Amino acid sequence: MVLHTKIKHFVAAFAVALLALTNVPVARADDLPEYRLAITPTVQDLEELQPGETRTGTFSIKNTGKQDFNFTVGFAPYSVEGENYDPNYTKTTQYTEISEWISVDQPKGFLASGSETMLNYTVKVPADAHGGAQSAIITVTMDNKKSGDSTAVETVRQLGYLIFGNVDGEITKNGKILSNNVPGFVSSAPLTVSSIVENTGNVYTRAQYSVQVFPLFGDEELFTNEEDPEKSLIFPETKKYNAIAWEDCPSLGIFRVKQTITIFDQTDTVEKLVIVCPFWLLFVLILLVLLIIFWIISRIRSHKK
Amino acid sequence: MSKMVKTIATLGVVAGLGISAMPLSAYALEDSETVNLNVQVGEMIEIAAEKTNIDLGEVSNTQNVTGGTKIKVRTNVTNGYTATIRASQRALETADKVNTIPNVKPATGVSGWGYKIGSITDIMAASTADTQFANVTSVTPPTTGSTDGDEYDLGFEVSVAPNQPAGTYSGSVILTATANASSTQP
Repeated sequence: MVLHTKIKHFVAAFAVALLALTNVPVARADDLPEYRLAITPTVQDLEELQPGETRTGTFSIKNTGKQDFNFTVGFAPYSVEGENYDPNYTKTTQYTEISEWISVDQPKGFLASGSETMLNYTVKVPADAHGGAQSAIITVTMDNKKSGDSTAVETVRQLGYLIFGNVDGEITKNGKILSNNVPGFVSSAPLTVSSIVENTGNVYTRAQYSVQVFPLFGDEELFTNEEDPEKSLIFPETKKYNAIAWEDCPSLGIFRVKQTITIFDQTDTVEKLVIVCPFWLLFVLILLVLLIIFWIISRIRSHKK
Repeated sequence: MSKMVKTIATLGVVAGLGISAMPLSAYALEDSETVNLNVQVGEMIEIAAEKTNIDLGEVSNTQNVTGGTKIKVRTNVTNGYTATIRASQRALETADKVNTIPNVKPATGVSGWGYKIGSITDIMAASTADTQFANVTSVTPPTTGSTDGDEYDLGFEVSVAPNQPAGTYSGSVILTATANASSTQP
């Protein structure tokens, strides 16, 4: 009972200390960069949108640098290319029309050093909007001061607030698991499993990846994310590469590794034996075995003579 | 003892010592009383720069000019961030837009301009397409104190041909950082 009270007191003291710490500036003013812009939060999943619907939201922008600056808010299409999801902020597609549907209450403004303002945005989905995913970024740009008289290049720094959703209508939910790779041999940690999934439908989804690692004999899990599987956003008509690493993998061992991937109603599971062994040790062991074989053969031959 | 046996014994010792020196799996279970503590930390992303304009000075047909600044990106979003660079227009231009330095890779005696940053390690011709210079796919929680985020050196180079009209040329690049959508977001 006394122990319980002590623990409660400790937790209360820790929480108070934590709250106090959050109000302590992390960096001294001297350490601050000249110009720094922050936004929080960073992304908004609008989930399901109905044609004709109006949705509102808000996010904060902060000047966390030394100098004051003006800012400008803009909107850009957001799409991705390649399996590594290279972003494209200029290409317009049927999935980026939402960049035309967004407005904000402060298209321009001023931020003094250390100050913060809230940006309220509105998404007006047209009544005739087609079904499927939509994605865009709201850009917040630090305006620059005028340059001098020599040849100069201006750097425009901006942050993107990612906003996406699925418009209801004619939608298709299809996906493929193109690869599910568990390596058979790993020379050093981490033990990494990888995969590529494809969203062949017209709505975004989250693919789910779960990994379990067991010893060669036995069912005790050495590593797993099964209770909180990794989820990755997959935009329509894209392929995405994903990798999950077991960072604390020992330097030597034989394990049973199982990766399960799910996208829409497709599920694929691969289970494999994985040998973890450094190359130098493998070389020494092979050499040792060869020498022993050679020694045994030579002994047998000498006995026959 | 023959040489063969000695060699086998030596290799055996090397392998044995090597294996014993390795951090093999060790999994300890312990029983203890747990107290749950929940605290929510909001997701944020920041971009910072030392300078807004990079004055490159005077360029001649025999001497290219270079210059640059540092860009920092910091986030606490678990899945990291993506950062891109693109030129806002193809060419460096005079104020009246009559004369231009095109977006070709700079070389002595040839008019051109370009940049490098992050994973773009060699000066490339300025491109109006978004080019990824950083793709940090996960953010490691800091072990002590604060972290400054990731710092990138942004470098520019401009070269001109002997017949490049005199004047002041300027242009701009757009650096965009977005947080990668994570599984914990709604």
